[in-house]
Amino acid sequence: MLTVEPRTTLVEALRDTLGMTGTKIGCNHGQCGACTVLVDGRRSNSCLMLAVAVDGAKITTIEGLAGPGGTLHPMQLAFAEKDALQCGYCTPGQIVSAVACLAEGHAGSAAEIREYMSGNLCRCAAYPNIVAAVEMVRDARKS
Amino acid sequence: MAQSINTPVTRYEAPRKVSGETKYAADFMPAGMFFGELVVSSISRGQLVSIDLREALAEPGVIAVYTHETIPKYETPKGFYAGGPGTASFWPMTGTDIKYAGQPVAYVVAENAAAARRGATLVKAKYSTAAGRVEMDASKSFIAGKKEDNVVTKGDLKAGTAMAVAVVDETYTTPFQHHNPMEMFATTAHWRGDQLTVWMPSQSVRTARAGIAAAFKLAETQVEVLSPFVGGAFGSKAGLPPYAMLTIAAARGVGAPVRLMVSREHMYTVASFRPESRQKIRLAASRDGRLTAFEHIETAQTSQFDDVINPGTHMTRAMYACPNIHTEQRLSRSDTNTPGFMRAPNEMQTFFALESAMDELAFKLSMDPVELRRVNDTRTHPVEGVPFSSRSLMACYDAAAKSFGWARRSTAPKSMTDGDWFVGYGCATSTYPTAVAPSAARVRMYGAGTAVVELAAHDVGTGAYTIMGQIAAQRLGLPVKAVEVSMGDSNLPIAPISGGSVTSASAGSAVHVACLKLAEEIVRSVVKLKDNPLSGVDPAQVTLMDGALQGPGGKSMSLLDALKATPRGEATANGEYAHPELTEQALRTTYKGGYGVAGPVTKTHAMFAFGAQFVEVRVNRWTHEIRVPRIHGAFAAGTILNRKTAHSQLMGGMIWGIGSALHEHTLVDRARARFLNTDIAEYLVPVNADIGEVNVQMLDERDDFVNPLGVKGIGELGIVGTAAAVANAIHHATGKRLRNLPFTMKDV
Repeated sequence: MLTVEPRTTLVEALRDTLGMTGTKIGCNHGQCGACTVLVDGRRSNSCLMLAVAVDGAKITTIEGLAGPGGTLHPMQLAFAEKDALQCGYCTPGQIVSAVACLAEGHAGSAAEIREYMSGNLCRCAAYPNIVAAVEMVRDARKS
Repeated sequence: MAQSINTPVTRYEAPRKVSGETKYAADFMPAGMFFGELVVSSISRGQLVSIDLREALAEPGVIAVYTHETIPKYETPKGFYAGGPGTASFWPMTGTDIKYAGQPVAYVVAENAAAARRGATLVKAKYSTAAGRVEMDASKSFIAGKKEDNVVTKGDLKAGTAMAVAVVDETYTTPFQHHNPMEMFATTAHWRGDQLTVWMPSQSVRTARAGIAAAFKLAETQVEVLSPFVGGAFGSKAGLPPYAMLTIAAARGVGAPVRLMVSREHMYTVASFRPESRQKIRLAASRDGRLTAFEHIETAQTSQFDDVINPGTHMTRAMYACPNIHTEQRLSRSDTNTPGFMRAPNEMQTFFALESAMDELAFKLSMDPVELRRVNDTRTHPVEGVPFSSRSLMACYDAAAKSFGWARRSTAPKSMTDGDWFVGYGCATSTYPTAVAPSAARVRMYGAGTAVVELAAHDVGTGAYTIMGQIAAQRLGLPVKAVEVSMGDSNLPIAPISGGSVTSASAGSAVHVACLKLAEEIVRSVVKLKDNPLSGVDPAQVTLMDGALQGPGGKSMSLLDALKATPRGEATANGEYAHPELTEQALRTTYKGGYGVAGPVTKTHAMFAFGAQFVEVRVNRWTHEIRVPRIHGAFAAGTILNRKTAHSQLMGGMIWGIGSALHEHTLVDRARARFLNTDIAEYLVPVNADIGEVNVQMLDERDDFVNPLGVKGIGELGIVGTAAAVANAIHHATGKRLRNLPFTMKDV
């Protein structure tokens, strides 16, 4: 049970109230995607949601992707392997978004991945490597 | 011994970054922490007349609101370009002067972020307004700094122009740009009595510490600046910014830790940016393409209170052989905050201009643009006369031209189409100066076969953690995984500002030297012991070669075995690297927290990295949409320490170049001196869907002069020339020559 002020955003409840700082704030305006979390499986900008508005929902953050014992999610491993990150600040949002992109069936081609990952800005511009990481996980699932 | 250097080792901190464990400045939360928020000026020039805090202070959760009258005092340092640590020489909240729009005028402290934001909206400031302006008026421009540095003439420009068969004389413009790192500027300040800990994203923890200690009259031992991870910087986090000082002062005032996360909007005015510029270029050439005259006058914007000289003409005049050269570095003032350095601060704008002009010249001469570069390639610096320590420009052109398929280009503009798309190919030169700063490092090695590398360098996303570990692993003969790296902490041995692409060459060399010192220490101990291959050997005759100690007469043993044999079983060494041609003044500057380097031009050599970029542009016949489906770059930058992270650095730079060509532009209301598109949706940066194929080649190049590792910096090389390559490809696709960045649908 978590008690927050009505004006507290979801991302600030996660970060400042719960101390789960894996989710990042990059603009606080829903423009950059750094704060992407899954709300009942759907990717959402947690800076644009009030915490009280998701009362009862299942929220998945970057901290929730690893398996029991801390085994990294295949998408996390793929991001590391393909160097799909540099400074790492957008990375939690990118990875959460990438997991959903694949689950949504929006990873059919490189062009489709680019389109459906364009809500997550990466200023270091690791974009081609992000696409490669998503493809890697997609292809591993197929085989 | 396994090779570490030059291999594609996975990023050292990648497992932590992909799991969300890495902590950036705003992720630290000391107990009892409050939240800060800035209130900024709504006018660009004038005076603060009054400020009413009553409503803000009545807001539930607001703890304090500071103004220039109440913020705890500190000594304001000079700006970076005036030789100090500050991002600017003028400090907000020190009086009632308003000198730029978005200047901090009050600082709210509250129990949580929402209350702080709400409190900030309730502060009522009244101003008397004067006319602020942003203008780029050539008639008011001036030469700043030393004339001998900023006006350079060689030969006779007039005569060189008169003898030419082709002359290009054009002006190119580049806009204001903002770094917009993904991590918002932040500071978390925690006082414990007179001991201060500051978490801030920093490209120089030593610069920040020196400035903070002086400002608050503390000893270096009383201040620590921690910046273990930086969420992108690109030049925006190099100096000591006002938002950090205000947070430190506010934390002292309320007697509790305070964290400020600067809003994206405020990021456009509380720190630096790339100034707008005009580039006047004249190129004259004989029939065979050889340059007979080169003139470059760069005029860049600066603030009313700092002279920001980013000497781009120093770089362009190093580029091509030419007997008659004249360059000028000029400034023009506007009512903004002080600009600064943004990725390739001297080179992005100036090489957009030079490399566009080279393409225009090639077109006038009916020459292949690649061949024009070839006939003007040079082994010596055209003005300074010293040889390049290494220069692989044409090898880069040949490699990239081949992989790109340049030979398939039909020469006439508008001659290549694909359905509704005009297709164009363009190319341009990349270059970046190699500067080497002094740096120190500490290495500890244990008999269990592990090591720790410690230095106050920074990883701003560059891969610095990874390569420091690789260098130590290679020298000590350990697996990369056995080496821990600590950085971004002002308590560690000094390393330079992570700017000017100096970290690998400078701090990397310090790690190298520390490993050699460590080996010397172990050797001194092991030769005194009995029953080992080096017993009784003269220590001066033993050398370290990738983890092996080699003595005279083929006597050798591994460094680790030697360490295990010593009574201590562990060893620590401090190393310092300073380039042989580093001046005493530069050494002094670095140790004071400034930017002191050897190069790019020393007494004996010119040190530069080179590259060549080729782009394919597609322009839609009906909508005029401009796309860059593929870009190929080949680069030669000495030793590549890590082929995976270096690839990302160069690729990121090239994509920044595409951004400069097609997206990035801070719009400005000139009559009101105000930036307009101050968020990350209206300030366009490339998104994933904007980027197609990016092909990066890293050529082998050996350079024994630059530093012991033979390393040249690559963090900025990739962005240089890209915008010109795009402009040249647009000309090829459409016949339109675009000279003003960025290029949009309405321009074609």
